[in-house]
Amino acid sequence: MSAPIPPKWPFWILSKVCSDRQLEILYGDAIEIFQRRVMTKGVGKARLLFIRDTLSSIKYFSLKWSGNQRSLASTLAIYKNYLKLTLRSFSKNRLATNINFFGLVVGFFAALLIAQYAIYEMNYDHFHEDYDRTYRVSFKRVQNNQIAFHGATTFLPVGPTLLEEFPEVYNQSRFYYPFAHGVFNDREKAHHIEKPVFVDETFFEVFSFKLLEGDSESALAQPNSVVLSETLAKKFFGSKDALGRQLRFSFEDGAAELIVTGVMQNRRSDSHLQLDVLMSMKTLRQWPTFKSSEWSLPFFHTYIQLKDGTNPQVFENKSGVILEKFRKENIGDGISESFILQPLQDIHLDSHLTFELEENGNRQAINFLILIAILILVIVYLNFINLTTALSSLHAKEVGIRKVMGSHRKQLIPRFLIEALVMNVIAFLIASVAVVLSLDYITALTGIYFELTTDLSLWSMFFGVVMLGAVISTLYPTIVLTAYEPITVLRGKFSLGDKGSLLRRILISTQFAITVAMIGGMILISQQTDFLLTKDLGFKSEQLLVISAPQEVSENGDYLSSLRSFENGALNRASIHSFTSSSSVPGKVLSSGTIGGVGDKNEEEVSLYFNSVSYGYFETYGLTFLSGRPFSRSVLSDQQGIILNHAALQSLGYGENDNVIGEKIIDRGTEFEIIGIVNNYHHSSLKTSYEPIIFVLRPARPLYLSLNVSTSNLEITLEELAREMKLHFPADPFEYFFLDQVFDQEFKAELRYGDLLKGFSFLAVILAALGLFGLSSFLITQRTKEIGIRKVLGATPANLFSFLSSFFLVPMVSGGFLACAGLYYFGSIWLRSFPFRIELQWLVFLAPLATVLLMTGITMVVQTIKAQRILPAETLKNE
Amino acid sequence: MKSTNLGAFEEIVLMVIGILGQNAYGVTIIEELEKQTKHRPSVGSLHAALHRLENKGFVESKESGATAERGGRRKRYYKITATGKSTLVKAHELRDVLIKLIPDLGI
Repeated sequence: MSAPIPPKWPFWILSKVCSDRQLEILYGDAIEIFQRRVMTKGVGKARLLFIRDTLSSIKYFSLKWSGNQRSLASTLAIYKNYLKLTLRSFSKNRLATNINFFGLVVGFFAALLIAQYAIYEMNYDHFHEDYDRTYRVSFKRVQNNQIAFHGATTFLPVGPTLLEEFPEVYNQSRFYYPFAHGVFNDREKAHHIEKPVFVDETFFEVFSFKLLEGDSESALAQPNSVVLSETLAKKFFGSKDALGRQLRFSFEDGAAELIVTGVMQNRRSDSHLQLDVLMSMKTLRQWPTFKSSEWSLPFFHTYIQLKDGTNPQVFENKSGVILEKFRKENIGDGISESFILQPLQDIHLDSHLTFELEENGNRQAINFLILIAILILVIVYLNFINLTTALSSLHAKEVGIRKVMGSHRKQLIPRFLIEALVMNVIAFLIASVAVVLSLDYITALTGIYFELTTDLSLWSMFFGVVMLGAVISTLYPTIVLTAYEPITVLRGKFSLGDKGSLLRRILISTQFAITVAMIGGMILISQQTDFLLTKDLGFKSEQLLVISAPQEVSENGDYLSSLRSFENGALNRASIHSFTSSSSVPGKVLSSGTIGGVGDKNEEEVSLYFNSVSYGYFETYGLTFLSGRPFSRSVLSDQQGIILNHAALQSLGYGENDNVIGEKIIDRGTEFEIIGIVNNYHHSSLKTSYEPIIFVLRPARPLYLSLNVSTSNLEITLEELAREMKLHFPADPFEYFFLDQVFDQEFKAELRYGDLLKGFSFLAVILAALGLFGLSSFLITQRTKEIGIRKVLGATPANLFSFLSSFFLVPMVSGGFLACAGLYYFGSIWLRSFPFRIELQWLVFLAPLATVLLMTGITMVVQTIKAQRILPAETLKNE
Repeated sequence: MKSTNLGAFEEIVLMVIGILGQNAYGVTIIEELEKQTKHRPSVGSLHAALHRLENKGFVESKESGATAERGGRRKRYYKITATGKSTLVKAHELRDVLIKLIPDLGI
């Protein structure tokens, strides 16, 4: 019978933590007791008690580190000494340290800034309490396998119907915003407010906007109640209490006397809901606006909240049932309709549908920036590796002496790790402080607004990433340094030979590739932006003054005749050349809709955009006619006439050469005649294709008045116009803008993004140049002797130049080639996302290659001059 | 500065070492303690006390006598030093004096 043995693992634990001297005695005692217990208490119990005995012997006195204060103190002293040496070596090699340090700070600053911006953009709408359970219901209509309509909006009853029919839905809230602004009149002054919205009373349940005054449950429950943002309340009522005050509201569909029932917090910049005015949905329902067309006009932003554990995908698939139920007559052959759920937090970056509440962000752009941040960090660390390795020869003697005095290689590693970490930590701290301090300045400079995250775990994550990078990038130089053989270095020879040359070549090749790619990418982006900026918009945008059309009818007059007299009054002035009105102007939202059968072929509905215009619209905007003519006052039948743009012609299925003038279009019983075709123009954006637009002559209420004005004496003209308008529409404010400014604003955003990329690419180039400088210095220190021999044998500066450059030739060519391939591939993909784009040009590839070549050339010249100064007699006399 | 204070548990351990004479090491001390006081300390707490006693100079130790029973590990034998003995005696005398001064015990 073999003797029972105690479990082994307690010994392992003890051996890790207890000093050897104590371990033997303690463990011996424990085993002896175990053996005796086996006799008296049985094996099982003895084992249990053995574990207790052994683990309880881990006490302070038995620990490895205890009673050993002297060695602890000496360890501390060593580290203190390392720190001192670090600072000394910094001040000794001031130039190299500064270059290295500068690279780190600049790189960290850029990367941190981008990371902060990306985090801010990705955390939109995360402040809502149940953001992860809230979805927007978008509506998609597919016709003949083509998306006919996909809007952020859906039909009026969808929200309540989903809530009623599906137990998974526990709340819903809807928005409706009139396509134009509304006018709010506080008895003293009228204000045009963009995007006043009608919302359900559940608004404050679904969204976590704070109501500062009023009761969130009842504020929007009654018709004619309105909640204002703090700023707006102040604007309307000054410092006086806003609650209970009255406001008169009017817009294209009606007017109402509203009572202020709440004041809410101001807009939050990190939300896709930018709202200043909330009116109760019941206010809207008292007008006939949507009475007969509840299930046919998709104009309502609808948000639903799903219960925990609901799979949104599954719910999305089955929610379509209600469309089949309520829109039977609209769904036919080749037509399918469905709801698409959009998670609330993804709307800002991923949703680009028709009728968005605001121009949303671009995830692609954010990802691209993150990529740039990563590339910058890579370059920074490559630089760090190169420069630190280059400096390593300065430490060679130190390593040699330390080794002679008995240092292990293991003990030397912390010495150089500390040096690297100290540099990285300081650089990170400086970069962080710089980011915090420069934020306002950057916002002012670029127009890009974001807030820094206050989440400490994110900051510590940044710090962790930086430290990890520091440790990894120190590894190689440290290995190189600590590998020195004391005998050789103390003899004054510390060549590394070709040990790390492959790695070094890969590093420099990567650096070249990244630099070339960044410069090329920057050129490509600015070319495309320039192309869009200088592209002909297709209409005349200069000298075009746009006035918000009046909404209030004067007491003793009818709207149209007042407008007519305003027009005549304005045109009487020599400075005003034309006057026209419309429901939309370029840069503003077009109303969308569908049109029924075309001609006699009573085909399916086609989705199009509409612009209701008055006489003179085409002349004012300088749109060219492909065929037909503009609306004319002298032709009475033009009231039933329509004008299409070229894109609309194609949407309706006409061929290029069809003569469509005179063709009839029947929409819901009314017959329209096509009287003209105009050239395509960019109505909303240069980033989208041409919208199909139908122009109808609608004498009803317009939203914009467009005037062609002379720019001389503009101040006077504006004053006169304001006075003229006051005469005919005393209750309306005179608000105007110049059309070219609207487009400038859109381009500004585009330009800013381009500038940002240029800035970061420029940074990358500087960092790469620093790295190149460091690496070539390293090369020269490694080969001083070789250079000396070459010079003795008669090498000219030109010979030295080509000798030094030869080290960079292969990595440069391979890196450049790799970068060009990547540029071509990703550049093509990126360009394809634009309907209007440039071709990839040779410049995109050649310019960055030339830049890198030039940069290398200059560095090599500098280094050759340095090498030239090396006296062969000095370097060769050793040994 | 070394403490020369003798704790209650230390005092008992010191006495037990005295009782055991030549055969005082971890296991025998534990068993003797259990026999005399009906209380069995764990290996760890006993050795912590022994470590303190040694640091204070009341006992000295030497290692020897590896046996198969201990998995080939040596024992550490303890012996009271002269200081240890005098401290023990002094502590005892002090107790004798003090206990007689308690009026209600009637000794």
